[in-house]
Amino acid sequence: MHYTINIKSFTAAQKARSYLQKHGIGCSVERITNKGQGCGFSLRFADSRVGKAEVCALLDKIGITCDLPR
Amino acid sequence: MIYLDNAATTYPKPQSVYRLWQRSMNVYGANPGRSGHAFSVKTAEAVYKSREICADFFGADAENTVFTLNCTTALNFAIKGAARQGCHFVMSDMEHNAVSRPVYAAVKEFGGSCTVFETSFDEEQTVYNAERAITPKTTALVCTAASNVIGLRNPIKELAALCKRKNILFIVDAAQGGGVLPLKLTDGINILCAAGHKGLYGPMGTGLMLTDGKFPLRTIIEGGTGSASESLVQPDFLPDRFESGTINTAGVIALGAGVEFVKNRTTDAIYRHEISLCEKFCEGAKKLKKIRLYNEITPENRLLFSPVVSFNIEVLGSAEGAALLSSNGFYMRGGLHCAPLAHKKIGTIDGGTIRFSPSVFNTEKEVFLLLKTLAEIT
Repeated sequence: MHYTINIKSFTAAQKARSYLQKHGIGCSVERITNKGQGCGFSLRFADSRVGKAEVCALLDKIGITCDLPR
Repeated sequence: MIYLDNAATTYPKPQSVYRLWQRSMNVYGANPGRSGHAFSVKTAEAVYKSREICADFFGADAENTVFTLNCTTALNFAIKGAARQGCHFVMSDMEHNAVSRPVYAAVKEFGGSCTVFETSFDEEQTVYNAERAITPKTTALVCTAASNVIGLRNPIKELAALCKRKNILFIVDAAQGGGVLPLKLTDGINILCAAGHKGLYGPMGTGLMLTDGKFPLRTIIEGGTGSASESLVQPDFLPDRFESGTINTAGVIALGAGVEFVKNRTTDAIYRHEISLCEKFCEGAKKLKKIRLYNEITPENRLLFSPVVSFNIEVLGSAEGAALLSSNGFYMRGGLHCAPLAHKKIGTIDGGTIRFSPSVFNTEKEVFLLLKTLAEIT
């Protein structure tokens, strides 16, 4: 599965990445620019065996909300 | 040279700090969190690693760990960020100007007030005095973990419990205590401000503000954060909210190595080494007729103190005494140490004191050499 999850800050993105790595889920942090929101960051999942909903549920446990409107 | 001015900044730093500091200038040379290219991301990852190390050390969340230029900046963020119309601050009578000046500036700006409570060698008395200073209008209690002049420690856990009971913000100045005393946000501290370049053995130009996130703070500096950039309003999330502008990248990455060094040695072992040097110094200095000690540290009372000793050489002013020692190869700081309240408390506001402050790298032999020199010149 290929998908991205927008994250508000680099620190939050890196925290999410580290946490997901501990759960065996790989992703990369990318810088993005969204219309109406400006610069931000996203997690990119390429060929992930885990779906977005499951990842978001995991991130919720560490206080990170998926795809926050920035 | 025998350097004993570690309460101002530790020197030397661990070799791991020098190595990473130098390496960071080359290997992590891009602006972190600003660009999407690999060099910037790599640098930002190194900054994050250091952030995680610092957060873990003080029991904070990485997101709530803000890199600042120094402890003073962190204290300004915390104190002025908490100030509001008619605010009331409570602080101890041992505070450094890094606390007292922002508090006085905040109460002046917001038509508030401030109460200074008396600290004591009796911890229960200190807590009692602090409680008496708190009113229904109190916004925050701000205090140092340990005096930078006489080393007297404040009962942080007990004061934290008091603040929690009174539902007020508790800000701790850990400039002297960080890396030497066991300080954790999990002990009930709401905001802990630390210098990176003292007991944490990082480079100068680094500091930390760590928060439990329970008390939102206004900003006193706004600017570019690399995030939410279309908005003209400062981000409301940490650490970006308080990290406007480019951070001291090489400095904060190297700070991580300093904190790792302390973690590996343990604060307890570092404390025991340094306080033991203070005891040796006091034991020898009190035998010298012309030396006056202001906080005699002994094996019996050591737990009341952090490792600094204030003294003077009879007849000489503190600056003259420190200069005389400097000409003999011993580097210590004379004067008021930016802490006039503490000097008023011990009766040295007019002349100040000379401060003996060892680090983990000082040795007993160096203390004996200092005592020998003091005996010769007095």
